Amino acid sequence: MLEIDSKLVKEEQQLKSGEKLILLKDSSCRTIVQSWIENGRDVHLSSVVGIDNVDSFQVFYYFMDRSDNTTLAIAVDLSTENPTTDTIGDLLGSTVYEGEVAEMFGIKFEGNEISNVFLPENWVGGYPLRKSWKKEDYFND
Amino acid sequence: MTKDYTEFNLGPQHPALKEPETFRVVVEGERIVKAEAILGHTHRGIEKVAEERDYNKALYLAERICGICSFSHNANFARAVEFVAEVEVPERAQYLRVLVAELERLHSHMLWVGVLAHEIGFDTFYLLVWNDREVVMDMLETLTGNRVNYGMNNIGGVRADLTPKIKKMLKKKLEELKPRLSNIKDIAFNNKTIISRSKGIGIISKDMARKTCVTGPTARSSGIDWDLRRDQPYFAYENLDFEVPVSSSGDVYSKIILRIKELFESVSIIEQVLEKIPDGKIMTNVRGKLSGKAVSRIEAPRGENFHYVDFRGQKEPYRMKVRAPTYANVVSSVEVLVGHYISDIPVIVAANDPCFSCTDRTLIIDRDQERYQVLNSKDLRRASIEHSKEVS
Repeated sequence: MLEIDSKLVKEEQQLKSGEKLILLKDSSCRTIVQSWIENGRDVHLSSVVGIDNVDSFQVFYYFMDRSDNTTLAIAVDLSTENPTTDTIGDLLGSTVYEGEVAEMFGIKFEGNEISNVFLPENWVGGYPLRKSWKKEDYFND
Repeated sequence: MTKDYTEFNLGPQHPALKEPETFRVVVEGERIVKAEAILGHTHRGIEKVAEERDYNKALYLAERICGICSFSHNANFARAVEFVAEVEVPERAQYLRVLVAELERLHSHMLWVGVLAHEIGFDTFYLLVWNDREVVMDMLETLTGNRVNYGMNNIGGVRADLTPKIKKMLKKKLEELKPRLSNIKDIAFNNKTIISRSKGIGIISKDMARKTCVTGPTARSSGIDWDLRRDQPYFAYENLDFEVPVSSSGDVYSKIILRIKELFESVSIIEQVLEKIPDGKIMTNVRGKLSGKAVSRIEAPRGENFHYVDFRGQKEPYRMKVRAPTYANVVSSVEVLVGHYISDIPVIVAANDPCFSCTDRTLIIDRDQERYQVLNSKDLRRASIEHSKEVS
C-alpha cells in the first residue's frame, strides 16, 4: 500500500474513477516517493499532469503499487508567482513527463534539467496549456 | 589511430514506422556512447484543442491520437468520461469493446512483427505477416465499417452491433487466421536470422524496466508480470480467461516471442467474446454538463494507456491529459541503445514497438579530422541487413 503520513495531507478526495486523491500540504512529493522506494514498494508512475487552476497551478501524479495492486493519486498546489516543485525524475522515469509540464505550464522541477520535450528548441510561444495563453499574443497569423 | 566520433540524427522521417521522431545518437567507432530522444514532431495540441470541444467531439479527437491503436484512445477517453458521468455502460457494449480491442491488438502486433522483420532485412517474412494481417483488417472493417479509425465508441457504449451475419464471418475469418499465426510462430521462433539478430540484443533489465516505468509487452518481456486486463480488469475482461505471457530476458527476441504468444491469447479472447456476448442494448445515453475528475487506464497493444479528464460544470473538459504507452517506453528505448552497434539501432528502436519514426539521415562527424559525412536511411538499413548476413 502506498502510504502517506497524515501530517503531510492537506485534503483527501476521491476521483470519480474510484482512486484516492491526496492533496499535500507541501509543494513536493519527493520525500514520499523516496520513502516508498526505500521501503521496497514496486512503484509505477503512470503520468504527471499539469493543471492550471488560474489562481494556482497543480501537479497531479498517478502512482500504482504493483506489490499489492493499489493505485494512488497525489497532487501538489503551486503558486502562480513561483510554480516550483522537486523532481522525482531520478527516482522514477518521469524526466520527460516533468519536462512536458515545464514547457507547457512554466512549472519548474528542481533537479530536472529537461524543460523541452515536445515544443521546438527555439519555441517563443509561451506556455500553451496555461489558461491565459492566447495564440494572438505570440503569433500573427 | 584517429578516434571517430559519430553524431547522427535518426529521424524525423523513418523508412518503416510512419511517424516522425528523432533520436540523436553519438557513437565511438561503431559503438553507441550516448543517445537522446527528440520528441514532438507530430504534437498536434490535442489536449488544448479538446478544452474547446464537448466530450462527444473530443472523443473523435482522442481517436486520432494514434492510427494503429485508435480504438484504445477512443475507448479510454470514453471510459474516463463515463466515470465522470457515472453512467453504466451496457454489458453487451463492454464485450464489443473487448472484441475490437483484441482485434486491434492482433493487427498492431502483426504490424510490429512485420516491421521488425523488415528492419532485420527479412522482407519475405515482413510481407508474409502483413499479408496475413489483412485477415484481421477485414474483420475490423466488417465489424466497424473502417480499417483504421473505427469510430466504434460513443460516450455510454458503442455505435455498431454484432449481427449474426457478422458473427459468422468473424468466426470464419478466425479459422482462416489460426494456421497463419501458427506459421508466423514457427518462422519467428526458429529462424536463424531472427534469432541471431535479436537474442541478447537491446536488453532491458527488470530493474531498468521498473525505474523507467515501462509498460506493456516491453515491461512483460523484462519480467514485470503486469497486465491491466488481468490485474485491474475493465470492459468485460473479468469474465474471460486468458494467459499473460511473461519473459525475463528483456532482449529483442523475448519481445518477439511474447508478442506472438499474445496473438494466440487475443484469438482465444475473441472466440470467448463471440460465445459469451450477452444480448441487450449497446448504448446508454449521456447528456448534459459534467463535473468531476477521473482517470482511465487500459492495456493498449503497446501497454498502459492513460487518460485523465477534469470537468468543471461544462460539456468541455477543463483539462484532458493523455499519456500514450510509447511515451512511457521512450526513456528505456534511449538508454538501451548505449553500448550497441549502429546496425542494431533499427532493431532495438523497433523492438519496443514505438509509435514514432526515425532515420532520415546520418551525420558522421570526425572531430579529430574535422570532417563529416552524411548517410541516409537506406545506408543505415543497409548496415542492418549486412549485419544480418554476417551473423546468419
